[in-house]
Amino acid sequence: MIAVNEVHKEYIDGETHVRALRGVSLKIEGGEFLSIAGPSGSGKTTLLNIIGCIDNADSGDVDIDGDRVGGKSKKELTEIRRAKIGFVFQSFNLIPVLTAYENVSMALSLLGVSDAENRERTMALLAEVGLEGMEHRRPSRLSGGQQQRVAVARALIKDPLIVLADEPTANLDSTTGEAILKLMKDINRHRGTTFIFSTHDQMVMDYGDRLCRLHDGLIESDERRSA
Amino acid sequence: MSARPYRNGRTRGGFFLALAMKNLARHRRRTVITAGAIAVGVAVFIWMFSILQGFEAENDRNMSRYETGDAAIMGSGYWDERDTFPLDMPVEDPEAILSLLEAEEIAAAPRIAFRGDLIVRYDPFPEDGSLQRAFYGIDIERDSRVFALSEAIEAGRFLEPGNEEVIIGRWLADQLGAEVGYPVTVTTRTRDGFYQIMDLEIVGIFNTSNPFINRHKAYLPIAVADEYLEMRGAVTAVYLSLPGMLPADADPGPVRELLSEFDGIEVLGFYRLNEDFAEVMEMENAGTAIILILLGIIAVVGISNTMLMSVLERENEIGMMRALGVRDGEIRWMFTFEAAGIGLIGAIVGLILGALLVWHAVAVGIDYGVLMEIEMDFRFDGVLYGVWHFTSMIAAAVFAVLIAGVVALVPTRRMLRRRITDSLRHS
Amino acid sequence: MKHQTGRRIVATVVAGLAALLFVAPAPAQELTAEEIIERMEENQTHSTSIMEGRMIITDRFGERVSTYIAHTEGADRFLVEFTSRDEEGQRILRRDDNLYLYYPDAREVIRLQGSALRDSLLGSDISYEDMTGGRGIIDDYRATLIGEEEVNGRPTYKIRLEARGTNVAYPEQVYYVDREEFVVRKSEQFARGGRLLKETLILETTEQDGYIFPTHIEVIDVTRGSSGTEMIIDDVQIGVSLPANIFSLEELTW
Repeated sequence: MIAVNEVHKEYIDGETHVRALRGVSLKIEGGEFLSIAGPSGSGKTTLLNIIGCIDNADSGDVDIDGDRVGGKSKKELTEIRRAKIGFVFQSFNLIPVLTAYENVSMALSLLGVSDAENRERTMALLAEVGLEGMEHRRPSRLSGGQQQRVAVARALIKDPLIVLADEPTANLDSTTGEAILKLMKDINRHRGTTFIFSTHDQMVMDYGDRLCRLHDGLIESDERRSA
Repeated sequence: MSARPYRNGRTRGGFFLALAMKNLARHRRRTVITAGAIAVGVAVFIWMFSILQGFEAENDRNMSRYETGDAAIMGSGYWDERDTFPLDMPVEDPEAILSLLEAEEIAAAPRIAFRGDLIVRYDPFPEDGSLQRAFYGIDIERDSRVFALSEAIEAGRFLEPGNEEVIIGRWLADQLGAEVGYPVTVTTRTRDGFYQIMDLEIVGIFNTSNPFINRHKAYLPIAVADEYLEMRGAVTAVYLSLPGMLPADADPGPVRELLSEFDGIEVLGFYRLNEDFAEVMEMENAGTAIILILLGIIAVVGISNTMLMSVLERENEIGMMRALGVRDGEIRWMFTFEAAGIGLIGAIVGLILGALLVWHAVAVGIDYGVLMEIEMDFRFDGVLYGVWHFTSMIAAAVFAVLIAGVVALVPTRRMLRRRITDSLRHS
Repeated sequence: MKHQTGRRIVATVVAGLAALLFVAPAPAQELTAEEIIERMEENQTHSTSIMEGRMIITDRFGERVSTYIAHTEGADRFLVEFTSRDEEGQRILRRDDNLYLYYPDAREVIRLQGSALRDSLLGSDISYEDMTGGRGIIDDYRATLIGEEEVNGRPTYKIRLEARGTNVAYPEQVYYVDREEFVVRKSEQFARGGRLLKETLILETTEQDGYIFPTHIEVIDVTRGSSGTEMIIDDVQIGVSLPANIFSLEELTW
């Protein structure tokens, strides 16, 4: 469903030339719960960005749903992200002036879903992520874990092909982080949504059904684990 | 590629509009200050425009009511030489023209304009003296159909036909120490260029809202002017009162057609008769434009600064939205709505403030009394009243909103040029 | 607009027309008015002169004095340059019956035309118009001898001049011409309708090289009561040679 083939990526960070990905190939099937692990600077975030169509590879191909991403215009990539990709960020990235409800329903509004349907789906999902009764709170009145639940809901609301989560628990304490992981895994189980998340935390990577280790821009190991 | 059909555009547009309005509340102080600057700009512009319009309308009214009528018939070439008050390019047969006009029920008044020295002598005047002034021989009865002079008599009476008498303005009377009943001597030249002397009695002192004629002009019966100046029935101009909302709207075209048979005359419309002011008005308008531009710059700088700050501090958020598939155009609209919102608040407050100022200018006016000691060509007599000019008010408000919206595009564009990954890394 | 006036005298002196009056060898007998006027005009030589003079203007603000140097050639060419402080450097040139003004502040030459000629010279009772004029009084006026009168102790012919046409400022003038010297002793200018406008008096003359020369003239504006203009010639040189281009427009701005 997602095929990453011999992807190379270099970028310049200040004065240093970083070879972030040096030929990464990866196939991800629908419904996988994949953790990408590796130390800081191993290329995890770059790989996620390229899969998420917010960054482009220097060479190599990425196919999403059989569609080759390389060579597409900015506009086309925007449309792919809009419809098919959900993001969960390390620092939640909610819009502070919107309520939990609005932050989530926004993703459906972009797709032109009617208000009634939007409402129904958003309320249901918020309940599903455990935020019933908090729909009208703004992010400032939610805990970190609650904010990340909103973020997960925002990523999921449009039924994306894939949810990309870059260090989703890094800003949370371990208990809360684990709860978020459990939530994501539950959703993965129930809905069959594909999740790819990055981490450098052993506890977190253990959650993955499949674990890819990245080191210096190369896949060091790729193992499937039994759930 | 398009994943799903987007039917419900209003939901999307509505979402960004709502978000923009919510964003306005993020930095209330900043919003208020920026909107305040716009409000002041809008209000000042509305007020200035009102005053200038009032000024122009008053000037037009005073020209029309006392000096030019709505149109005039003059001898060909006279208009270009008017400053020298020539008598050798007159309208030769005014009666024929007048009867034609009167048959069409067009109000018309002939006048003989000439320059002369107004000479006064000690006792009854406080001292000897002479002043060069413009004199007008006027047809007593007809003049009132076109001009308002007869309504402005402050002391004494209006002229009576055929009497060797003169009326002068209040300003000139004060200057000379003249009172009703005092004798004056006027030296001038006849139509043929001979020196001529007239002894006239001041029978009235007028005080019009037109300071120029209060200062510079004196009036006597047309028959007296005709006799002394040996005009042989000719006049220097026939002035017309034509229907029109403003003097400037009066159309002399039909008169021109009516008189097409006459040689040696031309029909001058109000614009032509007021061409001296056109340039000054243009300068005034240029001045207004400069002020408008300055106000615009203040608003633009204020709003672009505010929007730049908004955009910069929300870089991470913008990155997130783009990652989620929000289109660049939608982000642009969001910031445009936001800036236009600030513009709208400013415009509404400015409109209210401006309306208050205009109301004051209309009801109370601005007293330029102090300035009146300075000699000006403009025909207004000290208190300047504004007029309600709703088009300009709405235009100013709309302009403020539009310009604010447009200005937001600059910082937004700059932000949208950045890579999403860079924006996301920024926090 | 041309007219003949006391112009002959006024312009002569103020503007420096060297109205050099030749003393006739013997008084004529039984002359007609035309002959007297012609004699008066004939007696004006066309020599050159340099004069220094003063113009004293009296009006309701008091008395002002302007001084000038005038260069003249014949009856219709002159250049006057003012030397008093307020007017210093102002020049008036008459040539070919045109009048030009030069203002040093504006560095500009203005040709006076039309109604501008009716303006007063420095606020005096003399207009620029009075400084120009046609070739002969008789061309413009019909002359009638209406009597003999003594003016300042001198016997004169009293001659009425009536405008022939409409191209002159004064419809009527009266000249008092010295019976022996054929110089104007007094003149009066009338408005249309016969009212006296101006009076010009020659109060003093001087004889130089056999010419009778007016040195003190007074112009009274009768309509204006208290105002008047006096012209006094302090120094005069006759028959001097003048620089070649002195009456040219180019030289006006030097």
